Amino acid sequence: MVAIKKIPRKNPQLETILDSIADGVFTINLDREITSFNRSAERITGVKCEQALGQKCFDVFHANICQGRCAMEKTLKTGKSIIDLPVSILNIRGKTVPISVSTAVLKNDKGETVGGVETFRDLSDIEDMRRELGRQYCFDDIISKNHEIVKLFGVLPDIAQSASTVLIQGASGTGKELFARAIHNCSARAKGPYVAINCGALPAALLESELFGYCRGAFTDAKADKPGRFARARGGTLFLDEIGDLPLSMQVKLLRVLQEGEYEPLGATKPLKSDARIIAATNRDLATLMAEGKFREDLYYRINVIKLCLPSLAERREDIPLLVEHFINRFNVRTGKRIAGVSGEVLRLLMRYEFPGNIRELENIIEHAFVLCRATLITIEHLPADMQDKSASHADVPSSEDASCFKKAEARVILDTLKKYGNHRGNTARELGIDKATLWRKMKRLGIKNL
Amino acid sequence: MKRKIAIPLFGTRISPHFTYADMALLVDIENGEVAQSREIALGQADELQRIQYLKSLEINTLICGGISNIAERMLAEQAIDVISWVTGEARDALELFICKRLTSGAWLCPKRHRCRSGQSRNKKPVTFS
Repeated sequence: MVAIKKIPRKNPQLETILDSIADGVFTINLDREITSFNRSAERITGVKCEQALGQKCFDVFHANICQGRCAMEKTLKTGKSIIDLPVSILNIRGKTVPISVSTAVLKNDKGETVGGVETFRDLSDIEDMRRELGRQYCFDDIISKNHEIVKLFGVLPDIAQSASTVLIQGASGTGKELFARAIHNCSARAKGPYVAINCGALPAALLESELFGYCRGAFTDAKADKPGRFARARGGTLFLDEIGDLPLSMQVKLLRVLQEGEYEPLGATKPLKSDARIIAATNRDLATLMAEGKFREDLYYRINVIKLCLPSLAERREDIPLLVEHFINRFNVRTGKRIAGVSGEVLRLLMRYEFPGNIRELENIIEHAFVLCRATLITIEHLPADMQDKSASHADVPSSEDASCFKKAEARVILDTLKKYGNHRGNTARELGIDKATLWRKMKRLGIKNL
Repeated sequence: MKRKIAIPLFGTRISPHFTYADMALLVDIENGEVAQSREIALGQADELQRIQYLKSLEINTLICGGISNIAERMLAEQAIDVISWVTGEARDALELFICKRLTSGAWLCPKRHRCRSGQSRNKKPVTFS
């Protein structure tokens, strides 16, 4: 199935130079077939040079401009170079990679155009930082292979597009706000504001003025009108975190907003219309609170229109390696370090740790390790002291239950990927980021035979 | 057995990026043959809208080129089979799909790898109505 056209190596010296630079470089002929592809281009796209050579550039590059706005095509038509055009491509793992491209024509000795050259720079680090600062998260930022989360992916588009109130339930640190932001950013209200408030962090009186705002003269020192979070979230989304901690007196007022679609700022004589989509989150069981009389039944049914339940990290252990990799990338960007990963011993310890603080705790552990790690690999001594103690107490004795859980998760990921690629081991290994021999050894160890 | 296939297009080829294809080829397959085919416009719809649109068309299988992980997972959750990262002519991909030889990640070369099974060798070439 793989068609490889071998292009003879014409100029090894030039290839060495091209391979030594950090930007991706490829050249094409007039049929838009790739004639050279340097090492950085391989790294950024994930496509091997041998596979790329002879292929149409758009089949390798998968850029958002390939269909209709191709920079190279424009350059070949006009003869004019394009410099640093910001675009995005999909790498072979299906991840969107922001890059900037520059194009120029290639001419032969007679001055005739024989093709084009495109250089491109990976802007992922800069883009990650920008997104983190602007908190512009989307569904793509939710990292998981867990079947419960993957199931949620199936309904998230519909949820995002609807105007219904959403209740996100999950323990602390399971990513409730990330889901809320992703829903907002993928909804019709994405251009509107996203406003968050922690209902458990403020006393009732302050919470009321924060949520609904106040008018001048409403109380001493109220010298000017102050819009509340509902007003600030107009045309956007209001995220009510820890709604289970909302005092009963405030629950009535919130209920009125949800029922009537209007609210009254403190000291106002007329109600204001609310135009904010509500996403609420809690780490408490609202049904239990309701039974205990601490949460209003009518409010519960008003906010419980669409309910998302997020599993704890202990329930999605198969995601731990992915999350570790994600946090390492993030902290590499933040700190300027180049840490490649964690040792096998650290990973084993993380795989059997309970994570009462969920993903946030894992993030803190990696951040701690980053401070202490001066090498390129995080090892046990870089972990927080209490984790090291756990390592010592569990030394060399991974429980059979842990080992079995890890094996099952590993086997499931391999089987899913094999199925996806029609049993093609090369593609499966590439997707999993391991080489074919490692895949073969893992399959043998886990007793996986061809599908 | 009936199946409804969608292939996002770039001219006659499979689109390199699911999210940015303007058109898609819709093909109804009945008993291993193309019963009907037509092109539909996908326009400027974003990824989510595309997925919802394909769902509304009752597509069973999407054959596509590049696609984001998240879109692929969402399609899978909508019970749409995805054969992704396929490059080449849409017609070749369809032909391989009909004889059950198309897999994700296939780089198609038009003059090779035609269906070799006895069952499909004598069949008419895939034609679009």
